[in-house]
Amino acid sequence: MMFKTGAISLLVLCPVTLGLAGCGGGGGGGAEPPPAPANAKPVILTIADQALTIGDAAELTISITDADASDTHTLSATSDNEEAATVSVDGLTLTITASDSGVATVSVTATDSSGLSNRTSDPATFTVTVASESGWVRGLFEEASVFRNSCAVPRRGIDPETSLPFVDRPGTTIDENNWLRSWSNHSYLWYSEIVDTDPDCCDTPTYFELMKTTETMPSGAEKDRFHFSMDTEEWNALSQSGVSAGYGARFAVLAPRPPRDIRVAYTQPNSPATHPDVAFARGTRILAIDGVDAINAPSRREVDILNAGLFPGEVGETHRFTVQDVGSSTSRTVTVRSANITSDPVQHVRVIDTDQGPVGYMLFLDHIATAERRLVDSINELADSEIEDLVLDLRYNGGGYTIIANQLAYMIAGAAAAQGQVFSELRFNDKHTTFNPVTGDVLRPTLFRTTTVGLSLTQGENLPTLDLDRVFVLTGPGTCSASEAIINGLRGIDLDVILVGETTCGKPHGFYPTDNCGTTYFTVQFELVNGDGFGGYAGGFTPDNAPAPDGVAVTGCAVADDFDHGFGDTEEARLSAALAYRTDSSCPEPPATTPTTVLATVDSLQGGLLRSKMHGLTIPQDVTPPSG
Amino acid sequence: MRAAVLVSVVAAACQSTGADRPVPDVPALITESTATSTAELRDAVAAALPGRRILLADNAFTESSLLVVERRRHERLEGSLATGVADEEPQRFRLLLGTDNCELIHLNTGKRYPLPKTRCHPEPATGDVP
Repeated sequence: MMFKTGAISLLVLCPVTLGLAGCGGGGGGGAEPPPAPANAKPVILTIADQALTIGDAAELTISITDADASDTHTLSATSDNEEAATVSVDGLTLTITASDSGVATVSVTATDSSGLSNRTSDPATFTVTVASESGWVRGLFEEASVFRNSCAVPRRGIDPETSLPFVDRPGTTIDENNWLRSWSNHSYLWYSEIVDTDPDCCDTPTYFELMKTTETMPSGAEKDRFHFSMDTEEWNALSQSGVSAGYGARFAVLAPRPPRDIRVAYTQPNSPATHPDVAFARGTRILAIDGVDAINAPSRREVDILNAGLFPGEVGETHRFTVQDVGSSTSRTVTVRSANITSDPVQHVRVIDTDQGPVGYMLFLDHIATAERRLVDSINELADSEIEDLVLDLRYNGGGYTIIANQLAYMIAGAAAAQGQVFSELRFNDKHTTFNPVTGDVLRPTLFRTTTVGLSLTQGENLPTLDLDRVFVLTGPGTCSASEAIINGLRGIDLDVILVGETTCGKPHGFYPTDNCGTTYFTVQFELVNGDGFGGYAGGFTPDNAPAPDGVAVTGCAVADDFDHGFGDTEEARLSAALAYRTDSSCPEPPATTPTTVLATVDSLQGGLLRSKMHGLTIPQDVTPPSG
Repeated sequence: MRAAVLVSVVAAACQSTGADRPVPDVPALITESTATSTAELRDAVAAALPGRRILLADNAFTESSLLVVERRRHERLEGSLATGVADEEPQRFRLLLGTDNCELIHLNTGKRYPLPKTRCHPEPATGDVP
């Protein structure tokens, strides 16, 4: 389409003689020649900003004023964004061609015909905004609130979060995508690394996937591995703290493709898994489920059966497991019925007597509300034993309440080291350095918590402390988020953290889950830093004797998980290594698995803990037949 | 093994503010968990948290007078629940023994929900109960 602007015409003003007229006509002999008349610089009249659609072209006739009436003029024009708009001139006509979405600043100058100095005008600039058919302009963002709650399929009825009618209103997929775009630009931690894309490109789930950085870490792993969404109703579901459906066994997949190796990582007491008729224990190997070979079965149908058995969706499901116990050469088959399980977040608390004094051991599995009470009880128990060191087993602790992480860190370090010190602080993107963009609160650091918060204990009671100046932490790829915050928080007050195990998951980031139109979105919005301002452990913390390429090296030993021994068993490889290190600062030979593999496996579940099938994170189907 | 009940959307049960109650609150435990008491508890919690799907175990208030309800754990989100996202206040309930009956108090709001069909007794002192 061609636009032609209306009546912009060349306007030449009457000349104004600026130079002196010399000394009258003729002048006397010997007089100096008259000075050349001064040249007046042409002036371009203001050019209005232009709004075009991709594919459009517009012609503008440029108006120029010049005191030198006899001057003629030549135009020149440039665009600072030729991907969006190109410009050309023909006489005094400027043609703008809109090529792609974006904003360009066009600069126009006029040069007169005098050949004298001062013949070029000051540049006249104006903006060309090029939109797609959907109205998208690359790099321009409206407030997210403009698009909020405009839904392709508005919800009706009462919103249980507010007990008021849903605020959804009729809208389009483009509206929902526009909200994601503006919201991400506002609050995503790496907003400048999002490739701005036309909201008309695709459906909303696809568009959300585009609203993240495409950068990678040195190993090639994605920089952002925590970008997801889920149905809001599902997200809003509640449960009694620690209660979930299952067997009370957590499985680990050491090899997810044939020949697979699936083990029981840990169990919950008083659960179907630990019932004498079932007797799952750490290290129990899963050989078959409901008649399907768990080691070699290759087909999708068989993999589906395995996943269905490992992750019962409902209470009361019954599945048959053929298993092999640690130390046994024979198999046995048991029937397990799923139930609602109350998990114990703190287990196997014990004191180990050594020649160098008593050492505490504690398996901490989950930062849930009930953990507050269990941790306080456990720390009291260990404090009573006057332990000289603590081995904190976080290898399967994926996070939870950071306030609990804060409390535990304080209980380890004690008042002298931690009271009044910074445990953590939220860092948002560079648009939000003073206020939290979600809550509006002034950004302030969080100090170590010295009292109970009331999650499962009376609020305001003083926490017990161990007053240690170092802690051994057993880690793996399942050590994530709040668990890593313990490590980072303690390092921030210079407490000596010794890592034994594998590289942690690497999640110093967090988000405020946000609903729009029935979907709750999780996009990384902040980094959690410690008292030293450090939060750059997106590649995890890694033992320094075999560091992973993306990891932050921490003093310690790389040691593979040991499913042949129970938690707190001094023969268990990681605990054993911690105790040995405590004696002579030595480490066993690092495992053959490279740290790179460990990190990659977290992403693709090539190891580590199996997750819920709810989100499709299950045993992957192997498209190739098993060898052998 | 602990069975549980899934609380779905349930109409609000009776509730009172308890502002004029002279009897001191005594933290309590359920004496005998029956189908009737479970249903009554389920309805009371649902009334306090209308419209939410809530999973309760049948040992609720049998071992502690405090019931903590939090966002259901989504396995994939284990890590995600940390660093802010899980730092929202959980819903907390206390079982109390009044003059005649048990009642439930929603500590977040102070609202009380009588449980006339539930038998309860004072919780033994453990040092961690207000």
